[in-house]
Amino acid sequence: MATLAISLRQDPGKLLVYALLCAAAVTTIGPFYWEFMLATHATSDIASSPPPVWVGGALLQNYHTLMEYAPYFWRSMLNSGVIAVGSTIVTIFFSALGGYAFTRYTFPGREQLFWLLLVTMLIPSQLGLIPWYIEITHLHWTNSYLPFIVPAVGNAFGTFWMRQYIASAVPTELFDAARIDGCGEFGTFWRIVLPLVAPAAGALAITSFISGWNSFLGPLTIMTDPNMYTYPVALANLRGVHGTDTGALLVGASIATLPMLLVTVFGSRRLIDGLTTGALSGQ
Amino acid sequence: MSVADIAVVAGVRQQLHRRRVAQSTRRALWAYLFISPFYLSFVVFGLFPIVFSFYLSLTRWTPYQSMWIGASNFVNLLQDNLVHTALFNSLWLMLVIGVVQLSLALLIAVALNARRLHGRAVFRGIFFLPYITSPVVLGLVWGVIFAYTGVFNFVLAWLGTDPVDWLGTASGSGAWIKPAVALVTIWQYFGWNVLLFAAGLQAIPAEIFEAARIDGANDWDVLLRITLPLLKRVGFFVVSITIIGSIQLFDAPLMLLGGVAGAGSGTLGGAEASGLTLAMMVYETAFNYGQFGYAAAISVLMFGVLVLLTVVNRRVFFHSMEN
Repeated sequence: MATLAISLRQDPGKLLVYALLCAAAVTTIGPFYWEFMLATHATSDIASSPPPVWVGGALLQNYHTLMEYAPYFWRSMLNSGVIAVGSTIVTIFFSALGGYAFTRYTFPGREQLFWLLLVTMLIPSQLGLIPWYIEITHLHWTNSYLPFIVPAVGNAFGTFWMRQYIASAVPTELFDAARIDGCGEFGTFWRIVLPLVAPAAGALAITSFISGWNSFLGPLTIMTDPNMYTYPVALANLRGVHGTDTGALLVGASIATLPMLLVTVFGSRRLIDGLTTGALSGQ
Repeated sequence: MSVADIAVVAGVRQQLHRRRVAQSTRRALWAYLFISPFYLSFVVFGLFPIVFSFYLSLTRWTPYQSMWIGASNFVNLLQDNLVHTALFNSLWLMLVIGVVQLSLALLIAVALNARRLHGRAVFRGIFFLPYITSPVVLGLVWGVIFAYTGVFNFVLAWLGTDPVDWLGTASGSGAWIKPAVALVTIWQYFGWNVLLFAAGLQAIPAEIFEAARIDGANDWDVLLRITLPLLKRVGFFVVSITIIGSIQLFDAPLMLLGGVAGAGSGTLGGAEASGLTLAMMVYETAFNYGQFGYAAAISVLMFGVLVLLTVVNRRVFFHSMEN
């Protein structure tokens, strides 16, 4: 604190900097505080005036209401988790494999295929929602994890990101050494490359985990059985029914927010660096 | 060298060459094997749905029958007032979100990059949090905050202002719905944009700033002549993701305006359809009214808008500045 006071005295402009940052931080944190705080209040108190500002005593009551209206809530959290973990593992493996192929080998059509990969990164998948839905129902993949795990094989950004990383961080001599030691083509990938791409895989894992954990529109159309809902689908279906028990909804929302809060607190700096670098490397 | 020797050498050379060709063919085959899962999956789950969208948009397609109807869907689309509303809403949101978010994010990123800043890691963590939180959760939480009897209006009343019917539930007027949706979206993605801009600022070597100062440049000159031009690539990227993100806006407005319970009753976009985005309309048309062909036509419209804006964005960033 003392150093802070000194630096403020030396540079009064810093005061403005801190004021701006604190205002932005408080605005960012505020709604999260509101979410967790209101989850401990009964629905009737939430709409009262003045609104509650501190923790109340209705948390357990709200939780019971949530369990009553949505007995599948924990199951939906599990479903989101399965999709998140499954799609992350598939993404890492196949992105690294593709990235390895692009850096290790020269083959006819390599440049064209890589160019196609870059173009596919620009197309938002949501535009193909309707045919995608028809396709999935024809494959009889409704109420299944498969439509959210199998397509992770074709993660364009992941493959691009791994290719960049392998090209810059894995020396080609290693490949030759591996061959001399009798590693096959796949053995080189499995035993040499895969352990070496761990730093790049970390950032990629977080992005695909988060998008899997939060997946909503796809499951909303594909999962008709409440036992296969992901947690955002469960929450979306809960809103508006039963006269909307806001307290119960907020308990559910808070439980679902906790993992992200932990990611932020413990994932901290390296994670953010990895993700911003990853996002900007596409340029 | 005798003729026989030459023949032997040529033979060996040819053999070596053949082996090398065989080897490189073999390795190319391995490469194709390794990248084929990606392209297979991309064709099946990425490319095919997009291409099939164009076909579907020319049909009347329900889960039970499909019929080629040519451009009829697009003729209807041009006359459909609800489509006009959704298109207008999406573009309005894109513009407002883009302008406010970008200028705020740039400002905060400059502040975050101040030298010898205390608590930088904490600020970064905080700004990161909304970006990774589910928009469904955030829409729900903000729905409570924006409620007519919610905390936002309580603060406004305390400041001496009349309550605002943010979500149009009290008055049936949707006048404030779009600002509310914009506010939530800006709030969610602004922090991530700050982090991207801050990463871009970090990448500018400090010597450039020092050299400019020695040459007598003031803060304003530095910002306009050095910082902003060097942030061009990051800026282009941030504008691109803002365009792509806002055209697909779905989860947050849906939750803000009542969840999926309103779907199918024509109330999905809230009062006067003020919060109806193109993506919401695609969803409702297909999954509540079963008109898959018409929904695909709206997707094609979204695709067209996206391509157009991407081209404009690229021109603005990489043409005007080079001249």
